[in-house]
Amino acid sequence: MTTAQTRSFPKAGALHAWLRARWRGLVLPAAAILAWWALARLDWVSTPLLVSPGKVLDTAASQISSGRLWRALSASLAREFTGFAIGTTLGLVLGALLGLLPLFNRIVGPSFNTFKQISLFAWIPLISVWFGLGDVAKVTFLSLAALVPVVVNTCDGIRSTPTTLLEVARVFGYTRWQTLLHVVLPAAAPSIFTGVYLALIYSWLATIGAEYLLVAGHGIGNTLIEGSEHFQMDLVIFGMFVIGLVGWSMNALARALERRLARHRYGAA
Amino acid sequence: MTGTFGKELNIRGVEKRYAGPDGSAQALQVLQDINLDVPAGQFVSIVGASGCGKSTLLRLILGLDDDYAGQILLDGKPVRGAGLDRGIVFQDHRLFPWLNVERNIATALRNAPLSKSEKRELVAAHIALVGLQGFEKSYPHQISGGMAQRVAIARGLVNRPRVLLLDEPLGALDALTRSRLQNELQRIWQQEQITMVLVTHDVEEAVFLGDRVVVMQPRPGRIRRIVDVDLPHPRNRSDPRFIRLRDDVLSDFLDPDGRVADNEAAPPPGGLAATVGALPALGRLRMAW
Amino acid sequence: MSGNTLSAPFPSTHHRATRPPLALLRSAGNRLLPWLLPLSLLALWQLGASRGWISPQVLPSPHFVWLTLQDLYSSGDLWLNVQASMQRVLVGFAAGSLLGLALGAAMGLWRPLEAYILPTFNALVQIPVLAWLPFVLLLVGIGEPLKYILIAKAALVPVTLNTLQGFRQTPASLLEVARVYGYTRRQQVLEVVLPHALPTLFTGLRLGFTKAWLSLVVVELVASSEGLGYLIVYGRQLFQLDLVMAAVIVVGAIGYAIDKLLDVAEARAGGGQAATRLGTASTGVHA
Repeated sequence: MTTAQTRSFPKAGALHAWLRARWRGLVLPAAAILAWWALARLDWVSTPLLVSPGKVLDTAASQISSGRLWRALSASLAREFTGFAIGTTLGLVLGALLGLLPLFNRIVGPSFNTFKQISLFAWIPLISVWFGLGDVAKVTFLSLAALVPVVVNTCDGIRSTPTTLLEVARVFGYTRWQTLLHVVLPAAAPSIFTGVYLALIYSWLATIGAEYLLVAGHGIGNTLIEGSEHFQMDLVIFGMFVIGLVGWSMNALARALERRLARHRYGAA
Repeated sequence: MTGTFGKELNIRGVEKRYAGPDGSAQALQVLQDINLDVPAGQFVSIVGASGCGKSTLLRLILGLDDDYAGQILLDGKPVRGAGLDRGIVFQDHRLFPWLNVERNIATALRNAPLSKSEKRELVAAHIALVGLQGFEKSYPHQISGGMAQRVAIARGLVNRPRVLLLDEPLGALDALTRSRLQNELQRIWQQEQITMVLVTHDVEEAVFLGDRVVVMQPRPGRIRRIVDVDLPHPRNRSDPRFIRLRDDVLSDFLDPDGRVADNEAAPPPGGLAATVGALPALGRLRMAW
Repeated sequence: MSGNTLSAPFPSTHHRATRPPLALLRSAGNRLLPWLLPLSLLALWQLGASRGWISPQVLPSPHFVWLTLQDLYSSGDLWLNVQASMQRVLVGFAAGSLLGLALGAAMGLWRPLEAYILPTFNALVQIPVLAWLPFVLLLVGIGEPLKYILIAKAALVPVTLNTLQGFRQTPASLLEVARVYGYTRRQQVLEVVLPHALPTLFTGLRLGFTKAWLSLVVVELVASSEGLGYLIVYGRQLFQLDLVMAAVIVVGAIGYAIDKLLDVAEARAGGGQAATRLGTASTGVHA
C-alpha cells in the first residue's frame, strides 16, 4: 500500500522529506500564530489593534482581488528598478574610473567616501526641495541608494586584481586594453556582482523609506502608512508581509544567480 | 670585453642595487658582477639560498625590470621589456581562475601572429606534451597543484620561446609530486630542446635537471662557482657520480663543521637518499624556506 | 627585496629614483589632492549664492549655513538635539546588541536551538526597520519607546548573525586539540570557542552600531519631535534650508567620528580585522 502511495504521489514524497528536515523551524511561527489567534479569540485584551489572523487574511484577499495590492506594488517596483538601473549604470562607470585611474581616485575618492558616510535618508528633505515630492524625487533618491554599493564594490574589485596575474599579462605583452578586458574585469567580476546585488537590496529598502517621506503618489510604503494612520493593523501586517516577501525573493534570486555564475568558474567562491 | 655573441643568452656584468629606505643612505646590492653565457638548448640550474638574488636575476632576464647595470643579450640583441621570446613559469602557477586549462594556455597566444586554427593546434600539442589530455575543459580549482603547474609549463612553452625561465616552479608542491614533475620537466626539455634556466633552492633538483649548476651566494648576490654536470640524460638519481656531484654542490652550503651555515640552503626533505649516503657529520639541518 | 617569488611589491613605472626635493614636492601635492574637489565645489557654491545664481530658498550660501551652525551651537539647540539623538542610539544599540549577543551565542552553542529560531529570525530580518515602523507605531505610539525598539531591531540583526557565525566557525582542528586534552564542554567554550569568536563578534557590534546610527536618522526623519533628524524635517518644513544643511553636516560629522572611533577600537581589539578599503561597514542606506 505504501509503495503504491509513494509511486502515485511523488510530490507528496518530496514534501514529506522537506518537512522532516525543516519541521523545527516551523514550530516557532506556528506556535506564535496559534497564540495570536487564541488571544484574538479570547477577548482578554480589548483593543481594536488586536486583529485576528483571520482578519488579516480577509484584508489580504480583498487587497489582492481588488487589484490595489498590484497597483501599489507595481508602482513601487517600477520606481525601484528605474532607480536601480540608473544608479547601477552610473555606479559602474564611477567605480571603474575610481578603480582604474589613481589620480581620479585621489581627487574624488575621499569626497565620495565622506559622502557615503552620511545616511542617505538625510538627503531626502533637500531632494524634496529640489525635485518635489513625486516620482522624480523618489527615483533620484533610489539611484543614489543603488549607486553607492556599486561604486564601492566595483572600485574594490578592480583594485584588488592580483598583481601576480597582472604580471602574467605583462609577460604576454598584453596592451592596456587587453589587460583591462581579459584580466582586470574577470578578476573583479565577483566583487562587481556583489555590488549590483547590494544595489538591488538597498534600492528596495530605500523605496519604502522614500514613500514614507516623499508622500505624493502611491506604493506599498504608502499602503503601510495609510494603514497606520487609520489604525488598520490588519493592513499594516499584510503590508509588512508583502514587503518581506519581495525582499526575500530578491535575495533568493540574486543568490541563485550568483551560484550559477560562480559555480563553474571559481569553485568554492 | 670580447664576447662570443651568437650564443643564446648572454649576461654580462649585471649589477643591481636598491636604494635604502631613507634615500640613498644604505644601498642594498642585490646582484654583483653576474656573468653567464648560456648556449642554445642548454639547461642551466641556478641554486642558492634566499636573498642571493636569483629570482631578481630571472626578473631582469624576463624584462620585467630594466633598472640595472650591465648587459643581457638574447641571441645578440639586448633584452628590452617583456617579450614572447622568453617564457616563464612562476612558483604560484598564476593560472586565471575563470578560464579552463585550454583557455589558460591560449592566453599566452593572444598577441601571437598566428591563425585561430594554428593556435588551437599549438594548444592541443602542448596539452599532450605535459600529459594532460582529457583535462582541457577543467578549471584550475578542479585540478591538483601538480597538474596546475603542468598547465603553467605548457603555457610557458606554447609560444615556442627561445628561453624558458622557471622560478622555483616545484617549490609549492609535495615531495612526491615534485619528483614526478622533475622527471616530466626533464622529458619535456629533451623533447623540445628549448633553452631552460631554472632557479631553485633544491640542490638535488638543480643537479638532476641541469647541464650546468650556477651556485650563487647572497649579500651581495654573486656567482660563487659554476659546476658542469657531465652526466647522460635521462639522469639516474642512484648513479654514484650523480650523488658525488650533488654532495659537492651541497658542500658549498655547509660550513666547515659540516653543519648548515646560517640561512643557507639545505638538502630537500624528500631526499632520504641524500641523508643516508651523505656526509656523516651533518648535524642539524635547517630548511631554507 | 627578500622574496623568492618573481613578483615585485610595487611594479615599477619609474626607472630612476626621484631626487629628494622633487619627491617632497610630489608628496605635498599628493596630500592636497583630496581637498581639490570639495574646496572647489565649496568655492563654486559660495560664488553661486553670492552672485544670486541660486536662490537662497533652493540652496543657501555656505556662509549662511556656517552662521546657522554657530547659532545652533551657541543657543544650545545643537547640544539638545544631539543629546536626544545620542541617547536614543545608545539605548537602542545597547538593548539590541545585548539581545543579539545572547541570541547569537545561544544559537551558536546549541544547534537544536538554532534550528528552531533561525528560520523565523531570517524571515523577520527580511522586513526592514522602516517597514516595522507603522506596526510598532500602532503598538507603542510615537514616543521614545518607538525609537528604542526600532534602533534595537536595526542593531539586533547584524549582531546576532555575526555572533552566531563567530561561535560556529571555530575550526574543528582546534576543538580536537581541546578534546584530546580532556577539556570539559564549559572549558572548550570559554577557552577555545569564545576567544576565537571575539573578532567576529566585534565586527558584528561595529556593524550593528553603524546600522543603529543610520536607522536613528531615518526614524527621526519620520517620527520625532527632537533630535537631529527632527531638525532636518523642521528646517525643511519652514523652508529654512540653512538649518537643514547644518543638521546634515552635523549628522555626517558625528557619523564620521563614530566610524573612526570604531576603526580604532576594532584595530585594538580585533587586531588586523580593520577594514581599510572603501568597502567598510557604512554605505549610507539602511533602515
